[in-house]
Amino acid sequence: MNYKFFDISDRTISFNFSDNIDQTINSKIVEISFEIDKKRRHLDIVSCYPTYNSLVIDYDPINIERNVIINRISELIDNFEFKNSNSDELLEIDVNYGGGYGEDLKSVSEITNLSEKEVIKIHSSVIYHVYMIGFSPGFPYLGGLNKKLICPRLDSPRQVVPAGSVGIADKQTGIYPFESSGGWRLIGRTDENLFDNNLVSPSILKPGMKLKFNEI
Amino acid sequence: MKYEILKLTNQPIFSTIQDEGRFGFEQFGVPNSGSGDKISFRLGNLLMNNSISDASIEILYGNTSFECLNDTQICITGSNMDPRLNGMPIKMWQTVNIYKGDKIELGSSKNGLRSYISVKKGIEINKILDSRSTHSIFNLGGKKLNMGDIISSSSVHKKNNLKKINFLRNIPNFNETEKLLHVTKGPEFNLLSEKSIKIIENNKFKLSNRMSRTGAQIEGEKLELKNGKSDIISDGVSAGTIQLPKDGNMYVLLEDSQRIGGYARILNFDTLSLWKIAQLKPGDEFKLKIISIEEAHQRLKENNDIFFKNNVHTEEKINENIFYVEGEEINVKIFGENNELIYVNNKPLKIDF
Repeated sequence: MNYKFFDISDRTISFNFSDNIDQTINSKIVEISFEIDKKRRHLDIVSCYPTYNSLVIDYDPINIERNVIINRISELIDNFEFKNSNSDELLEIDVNYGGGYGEDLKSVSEITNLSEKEVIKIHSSVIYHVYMIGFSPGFPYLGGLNKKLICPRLDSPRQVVPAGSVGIADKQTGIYPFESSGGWRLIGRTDENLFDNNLVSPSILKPGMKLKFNEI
Repeated sequence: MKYEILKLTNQPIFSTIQDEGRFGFEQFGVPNSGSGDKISFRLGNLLMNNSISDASIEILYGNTSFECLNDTQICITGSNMDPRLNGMPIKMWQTVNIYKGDKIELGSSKNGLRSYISVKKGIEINKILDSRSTHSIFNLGGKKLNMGDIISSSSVHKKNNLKKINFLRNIPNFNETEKLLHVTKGPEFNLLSEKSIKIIENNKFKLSNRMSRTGAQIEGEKLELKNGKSDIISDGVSAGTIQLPKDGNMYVLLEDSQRIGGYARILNFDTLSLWKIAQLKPGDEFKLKIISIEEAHQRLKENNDIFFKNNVHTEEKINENIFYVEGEEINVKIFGENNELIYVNNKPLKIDF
């Protein structure tokens, strides 16, 4: 696999595998990330997680040289034997679309030149791939959004997005499991609980899983 | 064994339990949290002979008071909130003996934003996802403190140990007038227009009122990207990352922030400046200086040598005298390198030479 690396900060390096969102590449990154996470202590890294097209590594520059980290991770990636261990588990999630549940359905409808009903129909007819969990605990970044629904983020993020909100931004769709700020366009809301901090892996959704929305 | 140490006797503005932070759960979207000013936080644990991962109280803005429920030692570091023990000023950046029934009061913050109170063996509270840190928005782990809450520890100081006081040789300077914060270039730095780079290098910026433990808006002349776009494919960010949303106002992510973001990452505060920002208040002004990753690491290591190598010394040579005034016994202990530390009836007397 080809990759380049760059510094996000003086203690975070990103190994970037693609400029595009690609399910095959993402699946491989998830697999590498899972393996590196298991070897965190051995590799002297603080943490490791996958994004759409990157592997993010945190290290402590007081204890270890940046070059050592880059060499160790590069070597691990270069010699990685992929087993394709991603699950194909499908989770279905009920969503109330529009109205007070999805304040931006109207703006999405205007931007996309589709009726609100068409937006809902298109959004709830796809089986999405969970690329990564982030932004807030348990927040799934879902790929596979129909091109007709592509919308830019809000110009300035909302201070309060209610828990359970389903949003879209660019080519992505996702769910806010917690109330937070956020810049995605909100089109609906779910009651599903996506995070439980009593579990060893506390997010109900994991990278590599499948998800479908059902309109209720 | 759990010992009750402190009870909150007023409603703090914003105080939480924090440790080093929550690491290893980023893949499930869990933010790191943890203490903001790691230098002050770590020095507190160092003075208490605690482990680096022990939890302390992080007090923002000040105006917090406690009643002591056990004889032990504590240590106050960070911003100067004019701490008092039973009405008498007490020194920060050293261990302080406290006794059951004592009253500790912190006033409003004078020279920073956050103070830390460290206790022996750290604060005893259940770990959630391997950390005692509080996430301020998701209420994940730790605790936001309210009036009446009781702080416990797994240990208290034995009577003999109370004679030993730990001090620092080097104390962080909170009184710089001209604040200069160092940044490294972010992955999307090259998308900034020439004009924007000049603004970053030359202008003054201000921390806005839109500020929390998750992040803060930076006020100043607006910046722009050459391609006019600010969205990226959502990717890794860290505390200290400065994002540029379409409105042109820089937004810095802080300790409770997410680890994935979708706005252009133009700059990143180096770790040392990130800890410094944690002590800035809304309205504080600063300038930016762009440095390399190597320079950032160098700065961090130099800082580590100053504050975390042989910085603590223990005072055991204590001259103890007992005086009788009108039949009442008064115990006076004098110690310190220049006999500058005087304790009357086991309460420190603040004298500045």
